[in-house]
Amino acid sequence: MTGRLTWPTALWLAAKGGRSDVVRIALTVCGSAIGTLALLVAATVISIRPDDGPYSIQVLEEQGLHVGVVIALVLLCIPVLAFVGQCSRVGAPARDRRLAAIRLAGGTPRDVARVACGEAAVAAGIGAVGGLAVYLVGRIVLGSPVLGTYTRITPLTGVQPSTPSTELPVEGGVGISYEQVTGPVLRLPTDVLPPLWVVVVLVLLIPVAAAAFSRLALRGVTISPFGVIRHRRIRPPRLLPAILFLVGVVALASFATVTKAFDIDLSGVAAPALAVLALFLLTSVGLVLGTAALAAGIGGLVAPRARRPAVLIAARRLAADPFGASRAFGALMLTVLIGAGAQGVRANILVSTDPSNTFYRDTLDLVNLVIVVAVVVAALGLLVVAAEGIVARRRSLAALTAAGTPVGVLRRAVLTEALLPLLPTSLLATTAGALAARGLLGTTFTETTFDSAGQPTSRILSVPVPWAELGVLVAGTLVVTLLITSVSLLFLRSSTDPSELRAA
Amino acid sequence: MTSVTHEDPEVLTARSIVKSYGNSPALRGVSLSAARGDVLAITGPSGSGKSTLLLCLAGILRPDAGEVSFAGRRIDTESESVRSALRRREFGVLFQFGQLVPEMTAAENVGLPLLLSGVRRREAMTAARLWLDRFGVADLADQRPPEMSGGQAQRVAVARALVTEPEVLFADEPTGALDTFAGEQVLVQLTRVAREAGTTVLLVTHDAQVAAYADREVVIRDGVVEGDVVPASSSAGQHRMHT
Amino acid sequence: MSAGHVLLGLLANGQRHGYDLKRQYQRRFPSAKPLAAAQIYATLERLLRDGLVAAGATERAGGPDRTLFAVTRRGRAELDRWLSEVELPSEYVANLLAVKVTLALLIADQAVAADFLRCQREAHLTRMREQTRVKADPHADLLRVVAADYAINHLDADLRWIDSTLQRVGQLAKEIRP
Repeated sequence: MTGRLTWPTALWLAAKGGRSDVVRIALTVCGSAIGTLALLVAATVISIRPDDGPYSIQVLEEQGLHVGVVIALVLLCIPVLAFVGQCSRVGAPARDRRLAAIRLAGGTPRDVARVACGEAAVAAGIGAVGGLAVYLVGRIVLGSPVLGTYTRITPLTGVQPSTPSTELPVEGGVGISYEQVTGPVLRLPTDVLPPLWVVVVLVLLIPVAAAAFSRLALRGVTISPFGVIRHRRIRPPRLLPAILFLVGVVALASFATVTKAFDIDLSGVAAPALAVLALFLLTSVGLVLGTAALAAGIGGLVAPRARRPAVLIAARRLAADPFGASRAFGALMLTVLIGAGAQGVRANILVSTDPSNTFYRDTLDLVNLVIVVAVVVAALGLLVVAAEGIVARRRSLAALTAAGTPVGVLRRAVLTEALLPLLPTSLLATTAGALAARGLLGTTFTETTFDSAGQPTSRILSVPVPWAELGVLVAGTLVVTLLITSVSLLFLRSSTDPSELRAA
Repeated sequence: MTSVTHEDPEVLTARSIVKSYGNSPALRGVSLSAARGDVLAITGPSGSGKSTLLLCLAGILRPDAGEVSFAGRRIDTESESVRSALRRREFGVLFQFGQLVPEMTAAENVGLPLLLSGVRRREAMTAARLWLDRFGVADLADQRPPEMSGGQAQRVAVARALVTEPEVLFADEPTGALDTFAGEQVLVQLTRVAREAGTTVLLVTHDAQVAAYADREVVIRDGVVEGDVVPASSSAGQHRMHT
Repeated sequence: MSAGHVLLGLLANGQRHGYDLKRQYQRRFPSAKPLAAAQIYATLERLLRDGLVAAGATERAGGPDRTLFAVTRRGRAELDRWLSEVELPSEYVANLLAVKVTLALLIADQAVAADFLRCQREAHLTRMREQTRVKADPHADLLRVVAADYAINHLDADLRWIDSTLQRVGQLAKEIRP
């Protein structure tokens, strides 16, 4: 005997739970599969060379936009990972009791950590392998070329007046020619495979991250033989997130003005890009860290004034446990921030490009599709929070029902709890995103046209604030969240059953 | 609002209630009645069906057969929303533990039934504080249940059950999670306030010491009232109890 | 319980006469059966003979002569010894209820025994309700509450026994009259 819990035993113990454990493990597997798939596709896109293709998705034809696609795919991983993180709380009370029972039976804290991490790593590992399988099968299934139209892009050197296409003069006299070609195309870059080591690293990435994350999550927890004691901070941080967020937003919003005023040369790309990235990270971290304090603050503000029972219950819950939803909520707000920024960029690009060329509009629509998917995935995280919240307080809900609380009040309380912090926070995130985009890219665009003699004329166009798009983003986020969290109400019936009231 | 008149001394009656969970029968034809102001103990060993009986009488569970009437009106045939409104206005319920909303303050918990009935917040909170004071826990008004002892939380729960001045209070092992001393204080205050207000109390317990706070006792054994005539299938040798 | 030791205890804080002792006894032990005057005087006589109390002055207050009694040093020592002595739980429990159940099963049948137990249960519970009312009375002094509590707990012990015996009465019948 080594005196230590063996890995097989630890895994056996991890899988000993009931239905909610199965749900948790299944959700972790799915999330990990989706995340791994997104990462593999991102690696594939970055591996596309000019002579690969052609593809029916235009954005893949444009080498310079690949980075954007990769960023979009990696960003998509954020709500997915937040969702997986939120799923780790499904059935957590029962699991905590089981872990405590393992301690009572003589297990060491190390053994218990092993059970928890082992479960996360194995579930995520299965998901990652599944993601890889979907990726490989997809390459074969979608690998046959279809007949389609694509835009052939050819770099131009010097003046080639014979080319019958739109020309965009670029500094240095180098241009690009776009040419509509019809022929066999690939639907996806199925002809490209990232290097093997990249595939291996990406498949391992999420399982390792999941194990590390669950180990980290156990740091704030003492699993004693008599139960799990969470050293939860009562007050979420308020000042630091506010400072980070404000500094980030103000700096981004005034970026163009400041660089212009101080005549800073933006032609060297690396330094300003890094600065923008850093500022964006500052804003995001501030927003994500601040969601808990915002939720608590809104709850604390509303609760003492609430007249309606549903609002009172919801606000008190927000104030009491601001961390409950913070992971999923933070991911959703990050998505809204990026989405708002994307709308700002979209407005700028649409003003500065030829409306007859649908390429930009199509690409921007694709970006918006990614944002919609991200909002949905992040809202699914909030669904897990809401469902878990209902199941965890069965007894008090059943008692309220027994005392004559209409089930409608309880339903409204659940939905209010999800939506109450969402409206002000998403307005904040949207404002920040739009300000950042406008601050970075400017609110005006100087259009230069060439007359028949080749003489340039300039015209200053103002970039409109994309009110409609931003409105759709906020309203859409609220509606999507409302619809998705409504699914949690299905748990309300079983959780208000009088059998929950039986004396323990 | 239903009012209880003097011609109708029986506030609550149950006739031949039958209730099963799946294939296992919990109640096999229970009849009983309680008059206005009665403090009635329902006792019996665990698993005898006494909690199920309470849930049926309070209109929380619907019996499979039989009738439950409150103030001369059948309630078991009513819809859940009607029964829910009835429970909100005319009944108070009290369970062993875990019935308070843990995130809300004691005053908000006690005021909640009033808010649900459309009382304005300010008035509801004033009334809540008054009731907390009656049970000697006025100083806990702004605390949350997890910060209280079991006895304190249970006294807040009693205040919540009585804040609407219900006709009937249903209590299922209200002191089951408390030590003897804390339980005693809860029962003394509960029965005193209920007797003063003329509230009918149905007290489910397995503990004779708790049952002794009531004026009379109904013993449930194997889903029937002990001493009642038992359906043919059950054990012989049961005689009507001398009273 | 020895009446002698109780009287020694009541005298320990100062001298008293016999009638005063009777009143004190009732006040301090409200739930106990009152002591008869004759028993008090007989006990005092015995204590006097053993040198545990001493007779003092005679008081006359409008009525008959009353002799004051006081605890001697030996009496005090005896009282202290008795107070520190642990009461051994008695080996033989005289359980009248159990005796009646056994006899009922011997001469009659299970139904009669069960009927007896149910009636006994009702009687116990009635007494328990009385004692609970005493305890729950907001004006009750603590001495009464403590005494009522003692009675309630003893009644409760009997009630538990009655409940479990009711469940076993069939088995018991088979064992007694196979």
